[in-house]
Amino acid sequence: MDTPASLIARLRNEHDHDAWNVFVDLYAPMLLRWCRRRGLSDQDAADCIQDILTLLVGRMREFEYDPNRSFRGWLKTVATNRLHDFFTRRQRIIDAEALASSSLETDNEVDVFDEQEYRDYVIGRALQMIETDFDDKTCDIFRELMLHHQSAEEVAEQFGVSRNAVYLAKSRVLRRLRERLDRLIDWPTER
Amino acid sequence: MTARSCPELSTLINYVTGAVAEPDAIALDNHIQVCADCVNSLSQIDSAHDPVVRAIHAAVENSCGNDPLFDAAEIIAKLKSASPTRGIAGPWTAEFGTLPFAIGDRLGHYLLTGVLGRGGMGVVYEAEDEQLGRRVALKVIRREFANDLRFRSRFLQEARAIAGLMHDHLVPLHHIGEFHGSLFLVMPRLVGSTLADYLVQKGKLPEQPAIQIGAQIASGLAAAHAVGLVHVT
Repeated sequence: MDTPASLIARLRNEHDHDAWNVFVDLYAPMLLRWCRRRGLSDQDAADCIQDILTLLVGRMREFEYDPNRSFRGWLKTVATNRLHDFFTRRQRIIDAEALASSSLETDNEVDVFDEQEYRDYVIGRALQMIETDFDDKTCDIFRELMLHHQSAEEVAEQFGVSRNAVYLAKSRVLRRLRERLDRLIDWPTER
Repeated sequence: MTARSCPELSTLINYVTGAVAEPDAIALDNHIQVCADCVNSLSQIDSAHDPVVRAIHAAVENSCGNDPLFDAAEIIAKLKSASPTRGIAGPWTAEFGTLPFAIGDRLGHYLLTGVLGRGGMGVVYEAEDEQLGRRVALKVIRREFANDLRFRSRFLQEARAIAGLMHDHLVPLHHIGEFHGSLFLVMPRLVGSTLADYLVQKGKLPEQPAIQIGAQIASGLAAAHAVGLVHVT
């Protein structure tokens, strides 16, 4: 179980290898999907993803002290530039002048950097990752609460626990999620 | 626990939306675990009004049945072994960028003394120019590029254009060379800190220096642009 500090704060410390691992765990699947869709081999994608994440980590301090910046926007910019560099160089090599522009055009498929898409992915992946820190019952209770909008009473009955235990599970998992996702997501504004 | 030590409603709202800080949260956990009054109060709170809880609800519903890991496990394992620790021959070299040359190798009269960084084009070493006795930055171009004839001619063309530039706000190119099939560039080893570091430390620049630095950057870029070079990053 890692220390209770936000991932962003921990990534500033270059000796915190665990923070790097969490960062990779959280973002690599999404970026891999994005790179593959643009025709990169897994080896090239791995190179690209490493460059993207490394650059972000290197500039994390700047980001942390600028409360107006959106991580999603920053990630998208860095990733797009990196991919553009890749195609620009590849273009010189394989003599396919149009490759860069055509490959960067968005297709009909899901845009991983779309606000809703990004939020759903990052929350889903973070939840999947933090679940190893909790026992199975806590995780199941939490998912049940989130998935079906059930009352604590109904969930308590379903799992044979007290309502107290349901609120406890809900609060604990939400706390971990908030801490993990601090500043990585722009939460929707209150209605 | 007695009713007297029950937290206020605002605290309970924060509790059920996961918005309490960890030290307080542990004490609250212990209380909520046993307090019937608080549980009754909690059942009156609709946490779905909270934007974070609402977003999590939506994410769990929308991604139900999808595995957000996709099939990235192998790539994740590789990337973890390549943590970007700075310094000489760190985990950097483990999986992806095996260093083209080791620290201590000589490329002609340049002795490699460290690694400054790694970019898409290759690895930047710190080196000692043994003829002139000065520290330099030496960038070794990736072999896959160096082996490509079209890339090489373009590279030479660009290097000549850069070499022709004399400008106070551009880093000059000392030398380009080739060693056992690897192309490399030699530039001055700059000392001092970057503008980015300065901004992190001081927050922001006063107006006059900001204008001055902005103008210097722009004039450097303009000089490069004038000879047909575009700084794409």
